[in-house]
This record gives sequence, structure tokens and C-alpha cells, in this order.
Amino acid sequence: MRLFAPNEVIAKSRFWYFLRKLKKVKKVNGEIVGINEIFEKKPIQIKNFGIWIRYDSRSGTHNMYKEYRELSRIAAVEACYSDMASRHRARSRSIQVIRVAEVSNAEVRRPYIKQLLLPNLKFPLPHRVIRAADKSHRALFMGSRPSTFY
Amino acid sequence: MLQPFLQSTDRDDQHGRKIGRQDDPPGGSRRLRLGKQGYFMETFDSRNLTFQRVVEIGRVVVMINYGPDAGKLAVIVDIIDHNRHHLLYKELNGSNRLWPSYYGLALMPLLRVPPPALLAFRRLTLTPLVLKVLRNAGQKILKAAIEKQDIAGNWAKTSWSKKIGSRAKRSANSDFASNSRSTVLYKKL
Repeated sequence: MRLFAPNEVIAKSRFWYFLRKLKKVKKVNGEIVGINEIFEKKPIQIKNFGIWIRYDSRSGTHNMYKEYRELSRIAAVEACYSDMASRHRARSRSIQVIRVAEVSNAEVRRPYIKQLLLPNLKFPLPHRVIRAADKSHRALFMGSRPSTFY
Repeated sequence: MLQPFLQSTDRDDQHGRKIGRQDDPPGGSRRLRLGKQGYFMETFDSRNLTFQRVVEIGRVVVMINYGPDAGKLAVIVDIIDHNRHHLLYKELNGSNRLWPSYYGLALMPLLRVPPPALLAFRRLTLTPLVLKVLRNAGQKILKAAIEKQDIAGNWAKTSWSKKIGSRAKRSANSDFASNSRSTVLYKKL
């Protein structure tokens, strides 16, 4: 079973959670034979990921399809969990990731991803917040108002 | 989604007069139709007078705020998204050798595969310099382009880099001998 978890402990727990839904077996009666971390094949290449989710909201359970532009499946799923938490107040316990698939540029469905796939994408950074180079250079007060224009 | 100020239009009304926002860039903006849904996207016009420094492929940036590589120049090689402001960059410094760090691409002379280099835009400052490279240009192409377009030279010409240099020199001043602060003061006067 391939699943996403922040560590081995949670991975094993989720394994039993999903296995119980598939077969009548509990952790007490079973034994995990092996647990391996799967690494991203091309972690430098930016990819579009489509993630199919099933999640419980306050009033029911729903399916969703979301897209993320990330370097790895792990990053995409992490982004997905954060996104679900922020947009739908869905905790990780209520979310089941059904499928994560890499999606080619042509197959992307969501406009918020499509806009990043434009051929000569360029945009300004309109509000520039000047930060200190390190903590020791932070200032509580400034002599003059900083300019936020690039 | 793109900010409101980018949605300048290039429409004509029925009498052929231009309509749209007052602060349209002079050349109008290009509108791109995406797919069959007729979804229109405004693209940023590079001739915009307000925003000259744009995040784009090949834009040379300076990293500030960023522990190990602070103050180094890099090139934006790919853009992940602009909401979270992540980008992929390749680092260039004087000798075009790259240093390993989580945020940097490590490239030892033996050309080992570099770790992912992801950086948020808030950790960078854009420079006015742009490299003409394509998306995901490789190390060799970048190097050649940097040399051909003389980024190092152009960077050194900018008053920005001169200020950095003078700041460095000033901080290296001591109270003694030829590079003492008082000597410098006298020279200035």
C-alpha cells in the first residue's frame, strides 16, 4: 500500500486504518512485513500534480480533485493537506488521498495552475518587503519609511 | 490569481475609441486565450512603465535574507507559482561555481546531479538584468549566456553593486595604516 505520512509511526497507523477498510484484519492480528520510503524520481523537475481526495466535512463526505504545481508528490500532498485545512477546515484525519498523478501541461484542468503554464510567464513583485539579511540586523524602528517599490 | 492592476485592457468601444483603465500601459496588454473554454488571461506587458523588474525566466536576482547564499547572484530558471512565490534558480557567482546548500543548486566540477533549488520570491531581490535563456536552461547554456551577455560586467556597472562594494570596503577599514577611516575621509575631502 502506498500512502503519505510524515513519519513511519503514522504510516503504520494509516496502513492499518486503510487495511481495515479493505479486509477484516486488525493490527493485533496482522504484521507489517516491510515499510519503505519512496523517493521522488526527479525532484528537480517542476511537475503538475492532480490529487483526488475524499474528505469529511462537517455535514457530509465529499470527493475532490485539486491540482498543485510542485517538485515532488510528497510536496504536492503536503500542499494539499495544508490547502484543505485552510480552505475547508479539514483536518488530516478527515482526508483520504485517493490518487496522486502527475498531470501534463495539456491535461491541467484548474485555471489557477493553467495561468502558471503560460509560455512567457512574467509578473512583477509589486509589494517589496525589505527584510534584514539576518536576525542580528533586524531593527525595531527605522529612520525613514521604506519604499516598497522595486 | 493575477492582481487587479494587471488586468488592463485593450478594448475598443463601438466608435473605435480605446476603453479601459486610465493607467493602461501604452502598448496595451496582450490577452491570451486558453483552450476552448475561452478563458482569458492577462499577461504582463513588458513595456509597462511602472514595473520594469519582472519575475521571468532569465531574470537575474540577488539573494538577500538568506543565510548561506546571502548576497549572491542567481538566475531564475523556472517558476513554480506566484502565490507562494517559489522558483527554481541556478546560482552564479564570480567564478560560476555553485555552492551546496538546501536552497542552492550544488554543482561540483564533476557535474553531479544537483539537489532541488527552490526559493521563495520574498527571499530575493530582482535586479534590472535579464539573461536571454529558455526555461530550465542547463548549466552549460547558462554559463555560455552569462559570459556572452557579460552579466558580471553589467552587474559591476550598476550603482547597486558599486554600493555593495563600497560598503564592503568601508567595513574592512580599520583605524590603522593606509586604509584607515580617517585617511579615507581626508581623501574624500
